[in-house]
Amino acid sequence: MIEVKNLTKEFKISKKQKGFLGSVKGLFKREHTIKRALDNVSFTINDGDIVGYLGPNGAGKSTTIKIMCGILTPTSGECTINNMIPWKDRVTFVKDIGVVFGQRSQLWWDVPVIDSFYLLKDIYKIPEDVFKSQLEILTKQLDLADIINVPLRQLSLGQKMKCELAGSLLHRPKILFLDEPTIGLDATSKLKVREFIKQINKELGITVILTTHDMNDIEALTNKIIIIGKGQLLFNGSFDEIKHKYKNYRTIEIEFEKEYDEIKLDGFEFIKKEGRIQTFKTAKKDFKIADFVVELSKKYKVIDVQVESISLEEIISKMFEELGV
Amino acid sequence: MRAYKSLFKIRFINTLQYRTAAFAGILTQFAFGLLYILLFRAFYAQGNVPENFTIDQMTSYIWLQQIFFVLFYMVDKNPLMINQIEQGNICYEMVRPMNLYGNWFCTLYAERISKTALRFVPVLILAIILPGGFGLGAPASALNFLLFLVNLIIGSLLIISINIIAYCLMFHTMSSIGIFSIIATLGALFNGSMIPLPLTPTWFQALVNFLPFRYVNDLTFQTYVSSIPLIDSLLQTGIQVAWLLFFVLVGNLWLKRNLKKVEVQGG
Repeated sequence: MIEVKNLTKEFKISKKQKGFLGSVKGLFKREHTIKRALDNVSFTINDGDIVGYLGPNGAGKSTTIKIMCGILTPTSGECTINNMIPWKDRVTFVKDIGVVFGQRSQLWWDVPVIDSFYLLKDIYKIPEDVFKSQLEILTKQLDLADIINVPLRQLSLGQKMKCELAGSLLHRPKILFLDEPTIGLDATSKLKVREFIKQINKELGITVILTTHDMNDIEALTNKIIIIGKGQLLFNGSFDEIKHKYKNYRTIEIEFEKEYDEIKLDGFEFIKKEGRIQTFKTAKKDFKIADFVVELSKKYKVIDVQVESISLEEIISKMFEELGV
Repeated sequence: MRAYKSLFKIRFINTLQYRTAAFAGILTQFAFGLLYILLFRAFYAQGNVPENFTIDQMTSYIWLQQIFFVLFYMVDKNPLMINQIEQGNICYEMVRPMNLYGNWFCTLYAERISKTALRFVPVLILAIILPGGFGLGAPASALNFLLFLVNLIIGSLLIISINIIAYCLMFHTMSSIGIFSIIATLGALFNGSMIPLPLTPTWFQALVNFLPFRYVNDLTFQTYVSSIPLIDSLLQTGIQVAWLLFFVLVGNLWLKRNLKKVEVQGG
């Protein structure tokens, strides 16, 4: 159980002044600005959840994760995870968590992956039998057998990510933090990583908290999402809730027999016109495609109508827009 | 303890890979040793023979300096650790159930020992077989040799504890360049790497006794060649231990404080 209450984090950023004179001035007097990365954020996460943590760049996602991992100390507010305060009980607390930061590496760069794993075994004091069985399972599920004896620096990005995931799970953590785990991966690797995350959540009951910019990650994995923007909590609920809220948003592409000028339709927003094809958007609740076509055919010669639901990506960007971030 | 042992092992083995660098090091150390000896011999030939530091003692002192060069050199720029601090990879060190001070100490020590292991034997052999008073002499006595070994071990730990202070400072400056240059220069001046301390003015020798640097290596070498009485060596070993404890304590507290205040921004 993870409880976050009124979490606030401020960073002090020193201002650099422009030009040579500014630099000289800076030697004697520094100006600081306070940046509020997190502003009164509260939420709860239950055991066994897979939570997607979303927000535009610089919203405070990584900061939250780092506070929950015990790396950063918040300016104010509370965070209790399994009855511990991460940054106060750091050394005890981190035994129960696994962490993967997509853009950094936790394995040793210049040694074979398996050596790193053995080192982690000693660091986390994993008993021999547990380590063996866990390594076997992870090697099998992540397809590591061929790459485990190669130094990390010689692996591709996808292979590296798989090793990082394995490394973060050797000690059987209860909570797994993933900060952009699929960043830079190709389609196949992404699918593999997703499948694996799902599997460990289901079979081992590990709580997973992940941040990502890839909406497919969210769609494939999470049952709950938390959205923040400019450091503030914007949404906290199930994925279906969001989908439901925006389910009436549709894009409609109409192909006419000949070229018409921009057509005005009541309740529809004109988007673009490419020759005989015109595109519209609508949020109408009682939209029925059959009626729509019949109505349209009375005035124009229609060849084809395509209706698409709004994608998650668009939903999220729409939400960001509505919430003003 | 097991974790530290494994960490030591992995860093030790890993550093052993760099054989070409070691070979180049061996040549450099040998050449520098010879040059220094020739240089100081020229002063001795002018009749400027200091008390308590004969030409043979000077020669042995220089060779010991060269043999244990990598064990005692002032700054050890560890790219891994610099990267942790400058780029924020320290995140990962902080999510491990391990004391970061111990982790760093272990890493730095393993790499130094590994580098020393690769180099010291060839230079030692060369220094011993050199003829005509140019070679490394035997220790002054068995007791001197024993105390020399003790000083050697404590000194090698002391330099690591001083290095970690430099890394603690890096948390504040966010750059490795300035700190390491300053420490390297001051260290080399005050620990006898530039000029063996027995050849420096009396007031300077009195001054360096109050600084930690000479307890890293100078004491060790002077114990070997017996340029200070054995009883003084023994007393100064006490000071050496005190400096080690002091720096370990300060490093621990400072690092702990830094970790509390550390800010890692961005993804």
